[in-house]
Amino acid sequence: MSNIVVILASKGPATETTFSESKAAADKIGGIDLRLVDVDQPFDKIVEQCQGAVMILPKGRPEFFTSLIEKIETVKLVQTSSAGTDWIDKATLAELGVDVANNGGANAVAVAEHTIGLMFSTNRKLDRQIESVKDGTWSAGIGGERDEFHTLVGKRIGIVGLGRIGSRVAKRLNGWECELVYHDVVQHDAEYVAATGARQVDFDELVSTSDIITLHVPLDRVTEHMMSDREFEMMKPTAILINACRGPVVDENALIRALESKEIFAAGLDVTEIEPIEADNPLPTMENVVVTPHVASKSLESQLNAAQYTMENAGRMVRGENPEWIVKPV
Amino acid sequence: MSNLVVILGPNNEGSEIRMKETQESADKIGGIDLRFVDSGQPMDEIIGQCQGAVVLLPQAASSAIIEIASKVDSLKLVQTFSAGTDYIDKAALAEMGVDVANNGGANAVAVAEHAIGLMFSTNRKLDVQIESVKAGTWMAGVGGDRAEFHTLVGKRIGIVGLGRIGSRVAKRLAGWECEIVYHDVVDHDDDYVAATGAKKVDFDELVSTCDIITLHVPHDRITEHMMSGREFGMMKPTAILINTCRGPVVDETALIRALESKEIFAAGLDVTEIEPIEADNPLPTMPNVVVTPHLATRAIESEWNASQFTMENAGRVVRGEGADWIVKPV
Repeated sequence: MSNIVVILASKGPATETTFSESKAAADKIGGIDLRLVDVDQPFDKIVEQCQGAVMILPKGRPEFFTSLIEKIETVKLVQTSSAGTDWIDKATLAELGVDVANNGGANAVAVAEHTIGLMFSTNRKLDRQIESVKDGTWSAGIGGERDEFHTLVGKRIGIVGLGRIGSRVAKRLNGWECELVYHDVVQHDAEYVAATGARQVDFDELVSTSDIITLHVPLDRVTEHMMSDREFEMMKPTAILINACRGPVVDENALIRALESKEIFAAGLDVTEIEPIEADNPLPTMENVVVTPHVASKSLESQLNAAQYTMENAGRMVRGENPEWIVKPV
Repeated sequence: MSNLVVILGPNNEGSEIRMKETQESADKIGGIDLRFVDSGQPMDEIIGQCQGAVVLLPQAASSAIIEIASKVDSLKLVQTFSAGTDYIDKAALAEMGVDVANNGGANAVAVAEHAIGLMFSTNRKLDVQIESVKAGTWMAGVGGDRAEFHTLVGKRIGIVGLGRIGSRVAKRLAGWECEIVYHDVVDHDDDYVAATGAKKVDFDELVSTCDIITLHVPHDRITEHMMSGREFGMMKPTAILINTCRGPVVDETALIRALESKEIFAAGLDVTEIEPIEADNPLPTMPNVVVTPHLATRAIESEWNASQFTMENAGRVVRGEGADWIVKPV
């Protein structure tokens, strides 16, 4: 078995930092020949420099990625530093005998915190509050003559997907005096679920009874547009939708319609169907909508975890063991 | 004992709603003759309409409070709808035999949530994230080339004042994998402290070792400017200050200097020394500063609690019992 592991990335200070952190993790584990390959070179050069690699870790989303893997016979694992693997053609790679693994929850805490930050921001119109102070109008016009803001006390929070991120959202909301319910297609251990304090309900019950719905599922053919007209209609008119997973899990046109017709109250989004968001997308400036630019995962701690976890999987590969966190094609 | 309880406030929609909600609470409790007095009337009229009152609830700061107390012999209690009573001359009222009580934690949850919201906002530059999307630049320039944001994992959170609000901050952070310490001049019961998960440390240790310091003390002569040049000099250069109690608890000039000289990393403020904030105050537009317009308390749930809790105290006074939540002059 080869011990070559390739990080495929654009040159730059960010890559240098990522590489040095990954190298430090790899050196501690030992037995890994970690190489950096510049993704912006001619394709032939890339293929040549990736020869012999047992694992390839792409940063960014190179269009030729599948063709590259086809030309590297040694490769057994494509390892992402992200939680999502939706941009990778996992079905084709599976036919080539190549597995795809995600980051094993490296940024789960960062995303869970961001999710709760978006709940708070939409519940209290935090963007309006901050802008109003910057504009010099202090609290004028915010929340009306009296209050229309809410706390989380007594609210039902519906978590769609109780995986690494969803479970951490639940654990963080334990002291907030709210009710936690979840839906998941994965059957979790009773112990795992008990630690989250969340109770399982079916999807339609979650959608129709929750005050806040937060999405923590991978994007695949099954979850694409899982929140669409039917679901928005079922939601409470006072309900808030939080999306910090992947944009296409929500049918954005249906969401805009639901917000405009006040079928639902608000949305907090870290992701959109097209990113960067298009200039004519009305969401960022809509009332009761808070949009952040897909940075929920961004924290130093996430980066350090990702370097560590991905190199742990690299170690497993060079030792001929099975990798963790494999994501099957759906 | 008289059973007249007076709400003193401006004749507007906010007061109307307040009166309706408190009337409902008063009716449930029974034995309370609740009366609304328009604070916009001439003083003679106000005094006349307050005659016989045992409890006075001012909707806002007003010089009329002392005058009413001096001319209405029956008055026993000035009851605020707010947690802070700093705008009331408690010493002068004490000389007249009139107590002052606060709202008994009616808005404690709302403020606790807001404090955590500000921690998140400063930790992740949420204001910059939202503005960047609105400006059409998506994530460009947000957080630099790599991530410079942080999660709360492993951070030490210092709570100054473990009262109704501070304890609720602590309870809400229980699942966030951080270390919680507190300082308080009040000696709390062991059970009370244990439920918060916070460890007691002395003030200087809290200031010099915490990653985030959050203030939850009343404003009085002792707490005024408790965070000043000396304290900012002791804080970690990576530390964040959160203030959702009262502006003058922080020496704002010293804070601005500390932020400018990078003696501390960031500040999240719901309160400022002068409110509304003055146009030439640099804080709202400083990098790493998030200012909200003293709205931490504002949530419908706070209002409902305030109506309920204040009428419970009114009921106690009307029945000749001792009032709860009395705040002594300091």
